[in-house]
Order: sequence, then structure tokens, then C-alpha cells
Amino acid sequence: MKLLNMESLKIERGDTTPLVEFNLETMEFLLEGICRPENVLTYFEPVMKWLDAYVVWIVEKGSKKILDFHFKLEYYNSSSAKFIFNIFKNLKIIQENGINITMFWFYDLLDEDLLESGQEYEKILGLNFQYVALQE
Amino acid sequence: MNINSQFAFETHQMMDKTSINLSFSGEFSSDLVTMLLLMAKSNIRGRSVMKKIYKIMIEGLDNLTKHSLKDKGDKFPAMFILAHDDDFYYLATGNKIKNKEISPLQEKLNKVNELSKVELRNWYNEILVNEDIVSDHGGAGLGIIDMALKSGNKFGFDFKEIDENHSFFTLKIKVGEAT
Repeated sequence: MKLLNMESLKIERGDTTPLVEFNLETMEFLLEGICRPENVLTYFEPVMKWLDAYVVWIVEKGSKKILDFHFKLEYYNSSSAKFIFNIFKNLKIIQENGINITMFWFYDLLDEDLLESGQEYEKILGLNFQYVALQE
Repeated sequence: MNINSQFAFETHQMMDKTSINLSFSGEFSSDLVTMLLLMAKSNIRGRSVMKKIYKIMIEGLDNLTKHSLKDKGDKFPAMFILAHDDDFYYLATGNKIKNKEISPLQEKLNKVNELSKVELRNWYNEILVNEDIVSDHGGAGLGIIDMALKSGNKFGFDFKEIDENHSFFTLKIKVGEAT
């Protein structure tokens, strides 16, 4: 099978949607802002499509570099939670194929709920999580 | 009813006495939710509790936007109130539902009220890991569990019959000031 021509993914921030930047060269992935799209299915469709293709691409290509995922969502609604979990599941698949991943989980020092959510994801996924507390 | 100065005065007195920070009755849209969130932010002291309220509001108002039943002639299909007393903030949502929706909703709310925080977490994770995305609501019922986790208190809820097919569902969520 011939490999697809992959390009980095960038989706600008909207009023209710985050900045998405998945960079192929640096292998730095970023989700930043808030996430409560009016229609989660339409919003996440291109992200999930890109990730599906990326998993195939990166596993085939291989990489000695670590993939750094910067999770900087201040808030995501429960309708988005399922999709965000699917993004993380793809990371898990990538890791199972020999590419190391570090999840940098950013949270406001006063936001215990967000820290706890990260810890739950860490437990479920078994990825390497680094917690970064932000103080305003 | 006509709005006169007496009505305006009484409404003001009532809101003042019951310490209502914010209230809206009518049809909920995404833009309105954005505005209510902004107003709540400027209304609440204490950033930690504000974060909790903000998140619970998004879930609760999302529900109103997506699930409120609006029949022909309904001018006020849903409502939202944010109030406080010395110890707590209170969020209340209300919306019209079909009577046949009452029992599954009641069952779910009762179950949520019975569970501990750890049990709620486990239930949330179970849905997250196992259930497929079924609708554009996407949540598969995660929203209610999420609100319970963030509130840390039991829900208050009630169903008031409007007619033989419909009821008005109210949900009250208490959020602690001190964490």
C-alpha cells in the first residue's frame, strides 16, 4: 500500500471550539481553549479522519522521536468527552506500535476536576502523563 | 399581563430576597448560553467555585438547548436560575418534557443520587470506554453524571404535570462555596 501524503493539521480557534494543531515535523500536538461545539459530530469529523490516516502513516513510517501531546483545554463538555477519548485511544495505538508518547496535561491550580479527569485518563489509557499546574 | 411599575418592583424585591444572581426564561440557544456564561462569570466571587459553576452551567444549559420540548404556542419552554445563600450556590434548570420520559429520567437521577463520587467516576468511565457515540448529543448520558461529579451534592428534582402528556421538569444543583 502506498502511503498517503500527510500534512499537519491546523484548525483555528472558534467561539466554542479549541485551537487544534497537530504538527507532523515537530511531532507536537496541541489542543487549546474550550470545547463545546454546537454539533460535535461535524466538528470532530475532520479531526478523527486526520488521526485515522495519521495512525497508519506514522506506524508505517516509524519514529524515534517522542510525540508530545499538549492538552490545554480549559473546558470540554460531556458531548465532546467521547471524541476526546477517541483521540487518546489513537495515541494509545500509536504507542503500542513502538512510538513513545508524552501527554502534558495542563490545568488551572484551582481546577481540581480537570486534574482528576487527567488522572482518570492516565489510569484508563496507561500513557505517560505529565501534569502542569498553571497559576493565574 | 401588562408590565407596570408595581410588577417591576415586585419582581426586583422577589429576586433580591431570594438572592437570585441570574435568571432567564424562554428559548435557549447557543448564543444565549454564551451570554449567560459571561454574566455568571462576572457574578460569582471565588475562582474555584466559579469554575465548577461554569462547567455545570454548560452541561445544564446544553441540555436545555437540546432537549427542551417546544410545542406550538409555548413561549417559555425552559428556564434557568442561578442563586446563592450564605453557604452555597444553586443552579436550577426547568424544561417541558413528555410524560413518558419521566420514568427513565427519574431512574437515572435516583441512581446518580445514590452513588458515591468513586462510583460516579467508575460509571462515567464505563460509558466513556464502552459505549459508542449514538447521536449528535454524543454524551450517551455523560452530562448528568458529570454535573453530579462537579457539584459533589445530591440533585433535587421534580416533575410538575402540565397536562396529560406533558410535565415540567426541574433540576436543582447545589455547589459548595468552600472547597
